[in-house]
Amino acid sequence: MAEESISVLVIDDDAGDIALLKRHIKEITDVNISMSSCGSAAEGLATLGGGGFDVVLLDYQLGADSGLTVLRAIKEGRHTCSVIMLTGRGDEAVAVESMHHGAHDYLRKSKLSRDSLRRVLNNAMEKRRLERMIEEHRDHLARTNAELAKRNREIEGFYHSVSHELKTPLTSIKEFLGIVLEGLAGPIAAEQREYLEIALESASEMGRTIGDLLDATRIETGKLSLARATESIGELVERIAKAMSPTAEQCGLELTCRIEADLPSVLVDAERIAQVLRNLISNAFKFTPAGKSVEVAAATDPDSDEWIVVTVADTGRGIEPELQEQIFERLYQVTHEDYATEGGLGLGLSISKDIVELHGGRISVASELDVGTTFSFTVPVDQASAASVEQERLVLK
Amino acid sequence: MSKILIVEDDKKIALSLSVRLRAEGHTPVVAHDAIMAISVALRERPDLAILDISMPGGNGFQVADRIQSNVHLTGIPMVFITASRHQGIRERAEEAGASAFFEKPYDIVALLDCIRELLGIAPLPTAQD
Repeated sequence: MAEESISVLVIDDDAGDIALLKRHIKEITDVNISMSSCGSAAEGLATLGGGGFDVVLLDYQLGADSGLTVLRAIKEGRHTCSVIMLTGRGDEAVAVESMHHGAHDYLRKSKLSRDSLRRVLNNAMEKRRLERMIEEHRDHLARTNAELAKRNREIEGFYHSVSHELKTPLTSIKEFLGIVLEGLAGPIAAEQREYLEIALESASEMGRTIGDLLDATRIETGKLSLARATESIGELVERIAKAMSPTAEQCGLELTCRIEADLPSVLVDAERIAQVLRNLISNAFKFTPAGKSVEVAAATDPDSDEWIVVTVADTGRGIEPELQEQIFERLYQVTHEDYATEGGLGLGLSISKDIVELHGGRISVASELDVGTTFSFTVPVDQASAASVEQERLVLK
Repeated sequence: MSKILIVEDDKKIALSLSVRLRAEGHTPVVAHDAIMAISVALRERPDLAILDISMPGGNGFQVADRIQSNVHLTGIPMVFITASRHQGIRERAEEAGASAFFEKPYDIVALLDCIRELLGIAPLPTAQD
């Protein structure tokens, strides 16, 4: 500690007290202390303004000014020095008040000695050291944070260009396959058609995978935002079910739709909720054997009139209880070889979960082996339009 | 039937669109960059424009602006196609005066239906086979 030096400013209107302090400070030999003194509040603040002081010893009874006024000015001036209040006649209330106003410590003038002075100075210096350490850590965190944000933007930019570079040739592949398939480049034989259709389906699958990758990146970087509007959840569910019924037919499955009558409007990003539905329905198709059925339903939440529950129920092989929580984890499928054969990156469920949660809703799964699996998620009722419907009902009554 | 300007820097996609539009009975005219787009447009006076957004040397929005501000071209329907999924790009297209917006890879049936509608042509009767 011998090399450590402390710069102390005494603000006291009593020359005798200053002399006493000076004497005691001189006696402290293990710390290198430099001391300056001022006889008034104004002079003290002006000297402090020049900076460079670690500790201020401040007299509470400073002529017309209270030491508290000076203390407040020091704190408002954002000086980094520690303030030790010098109090007279064991006035505890003054000491407590000073501490409330940001003084580091207090020292009774009646108990002034070399040791008491060294103790408060050391304490003050220790506090300053800790504060400085915290400041450094905070700065370090801020820098790391900025660095991470920058990296996030870079990653996002990279994925954007990757996705652009993948989608452009994919568009060309799909378009020319389509052109040949439709006979726009001359007649084709049945076998050729069959193979081209396979190629086209694979290209479409690749397109969906690229989309999933980009969504996952966007969620990871916090850039996925919703464009919410008032929608009819019944119409939305029916539209998606209708669009997916040809696929159901191909899989030899029956896809049914059950919409509760008079459902209130919901406030959702329709495209994103459609994506969740498509995801859950195509999952259901994947895990349900031909000849069985999948049902999509929308109904009011029995627990709350603020939510609509949408369910996709299959009659497939079911999911082991210990896996039911894990399936929503990102890249779950990739890390579980049993499911890897089903194809895809396994991003679908984690993206669905993120989309539902961005809407404030919840997604869950209930499953029984060899009986089937039901995925449920909640979407928020549009409170504004629900209120106006309620109003109408009242008027009608 | 109609003359359609395709502004697309990817020559393969531009060709596939030309084939499709020709099969629909339209006359496609192609420009591969934003600068050529305006001179081709002024020469050919298309009835509709299909605009790619991300292109080197000027994007689809700039082409749209120049179409809108040209007395001979203003008011023609503009269909944007893009492989970009930048947040807000759809809104920007709407601000630029888009009649429609398609993400690549697009559903060509939907794209052709949309073009037919914008040109005021009756939709194709559904195939009965």
